[in-house]
Amino acid sequence: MKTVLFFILILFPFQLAFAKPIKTFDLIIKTSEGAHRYSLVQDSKAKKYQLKFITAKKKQAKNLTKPQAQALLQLSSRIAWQSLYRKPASIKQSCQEYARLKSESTTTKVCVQDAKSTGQTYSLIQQMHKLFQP
Amino acid sequence: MRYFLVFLFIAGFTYWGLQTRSLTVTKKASPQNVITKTTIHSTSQRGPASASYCLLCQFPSPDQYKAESQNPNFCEDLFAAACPLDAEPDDYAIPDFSPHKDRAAQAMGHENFDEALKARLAEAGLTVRDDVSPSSWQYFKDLLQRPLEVPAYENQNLASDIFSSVQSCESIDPSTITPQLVTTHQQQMRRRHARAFSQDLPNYYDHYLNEQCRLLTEERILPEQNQQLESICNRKSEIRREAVLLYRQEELPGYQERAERFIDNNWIPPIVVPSPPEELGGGPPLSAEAQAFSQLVGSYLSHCSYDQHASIQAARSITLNLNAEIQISRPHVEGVINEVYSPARRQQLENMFNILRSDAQALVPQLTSDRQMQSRIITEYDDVELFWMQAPPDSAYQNSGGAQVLRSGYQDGGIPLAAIFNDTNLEYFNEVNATYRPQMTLGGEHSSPETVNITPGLLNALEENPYSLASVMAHELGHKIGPELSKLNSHDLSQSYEELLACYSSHQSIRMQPNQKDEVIADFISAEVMAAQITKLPQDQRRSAAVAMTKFWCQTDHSPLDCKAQHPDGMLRVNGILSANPNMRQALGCPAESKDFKTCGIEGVSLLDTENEASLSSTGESHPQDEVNVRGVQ
Repeated sequence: MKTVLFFILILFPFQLAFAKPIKTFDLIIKTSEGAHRYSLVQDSKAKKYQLKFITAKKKQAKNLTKPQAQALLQLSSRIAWQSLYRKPASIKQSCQEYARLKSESTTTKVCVQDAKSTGQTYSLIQQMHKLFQP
Repeated sequence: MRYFLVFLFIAGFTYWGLQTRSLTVTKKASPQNVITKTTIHSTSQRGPASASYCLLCQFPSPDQYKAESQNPNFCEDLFAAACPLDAEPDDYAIPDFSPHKDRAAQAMGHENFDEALKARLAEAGLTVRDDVSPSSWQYFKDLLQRPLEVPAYENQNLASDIFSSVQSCESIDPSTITPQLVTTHQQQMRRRHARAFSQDLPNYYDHYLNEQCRLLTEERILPEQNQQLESICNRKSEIRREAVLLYRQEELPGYQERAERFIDNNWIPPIVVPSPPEELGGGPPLSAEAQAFSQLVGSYLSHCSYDQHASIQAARSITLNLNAEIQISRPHVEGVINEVYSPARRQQLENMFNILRSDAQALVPQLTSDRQMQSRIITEYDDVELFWMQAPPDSAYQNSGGAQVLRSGYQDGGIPLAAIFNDTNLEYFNEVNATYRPQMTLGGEHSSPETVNITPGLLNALEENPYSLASVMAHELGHKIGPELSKLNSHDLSQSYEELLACYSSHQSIRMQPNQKDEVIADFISAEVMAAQITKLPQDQRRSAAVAMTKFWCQTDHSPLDCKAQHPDGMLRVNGILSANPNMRQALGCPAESKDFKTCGIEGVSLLDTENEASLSSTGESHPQDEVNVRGVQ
């Protein structure tokens, strides 16, 4: 039985279909100090996730675990869809940009007037920002 | 006329750029200041204020900082004395808003928030175990709400530890796995996934479906290996359109059933990609029977593990949706605002504000000899208000499913309350910051008053370190008479600061940059005001009070080399402005000259009550705390 299990582990190194390389998360927010950008990239060979925080003055990177990366993508997709498909119709006329967000294939502009998306984006930014604090 | 127009143009730009001045703090400062830089009107109540009132005497003695105050380098390096490298940051307690969430859940017919969440999860087929431990439950909630900050769960079976309806992958004996068992398991999973993904269609499409289809585009599996996948992926754009239409109906009756059917119709089981031969590492070839069995077990385990992850992701969506409903509901909004902006705090803060404002007013006649200007500034100072958030009026709410919730987009004088309460972690209420905002006049109409806003995270300092809070408040009040902002406020005091600013710009001082003038002068005003307040304390408490006051500045994170920042580095602010202020040095009993930084001040500007100080020093008596002696206010 042990031999069988050994081979099982070798043959199927626990590849989860939904955990394949994730390359596309990008969030840009304009601040008084210039643009702040958060990007998630994956080293497909090493299967590591790295969150990058880029400002005009510095670039920082932080390794994320797979569950963290998945959670980040899940949250960002929710915001992107919320912002694209559930925002009040009146916002299109006067969108004051709060952030630009790209999650997987969905790209959106979060408007300040869309309170729900703005609040959720703010929450996400705070969580990412805390990762880069000492 | 042309010059006048040019002047108007420049003034307009200056006004726009300088309309808000804020402190910036590393600890909880947001990367974007959109929310924190807005300020709304307040209804501050004024009481009698006195420039000689001992504000700091009202607070608990700063004796806890005695050791730091006895540092031999105190007078030369206050920053190092107050902010040792190994010291923990001066964190202020983050309030626990869960009782307000519980009250909101009660209004929705549940016992508390946790029970409401468990009910929602159960509706989606995720029944929480009866024997779940409080610590596991708390971890689980944190993981769902703050997934990036919470450490990864060491055990892979989090979902089965929490939910009785999710199976633990480790509890299966591989020898018992049969093709029938795998088929049954897949059927169960298909139903469960339809339920789970119906809670989060964006995740289903953007990540699950896209990633499965990527296996084809990256040729990791061939179309003929999985025709079902190929058929689904060929219809991706059609599926997306349908998903979006469904997503827009998420809150409507019947959504759940339709969404489950949609997921089921487009179901693809998680695909197990065989590892390439080079990753297998050689070994003896397997018999056909062993290969088939291995594939069966591998398929089962992959499905099981996937089930765990899908359950957690569905639970996250459910939690976030419930949180959003609860947080914008009236009991929660009012509970949080009334707790943070409580009447008791308001009374203390306004008392502090009035005293510090009175001190700042007392500086005005020393800064300008123009009587009219003096009078105007002092009168205008009376109109500066302390921002105090009020519970929204009835009209700010709308009915949603029987509950009163904040209207989407509701703002109060510029603060986007609806957005603040849509943030899962209510970060605004942890924000450590303060702002000064001049009066805003648009189109000739008075639109918003001149305000000082102390953000909620800093309000917490009232109970924990009121000395820091007082110095920050004095800084914000000082902005009103800063070199650039005073022009904006129609009373140009820039000439009064010319020599002082030249001093701060020098190499012997902090090498102030041109764009830092207003922040540096606000620090100077704060130093003057706080020096006066410190001298009202008993001699043996003064240095401890200075340490307490400085603690806030330990957390500022600007690099000394960053000359573009509006605020100088924290060390420069403490050692080069505060501690190198002649009146502060006198108040703290330090030698007149600082060793490392040139002392910078304005001759004749001082709020120190030298006569009173001298008599008290000679008699050793404590200072009167209620003497009214308003200097220069009239």
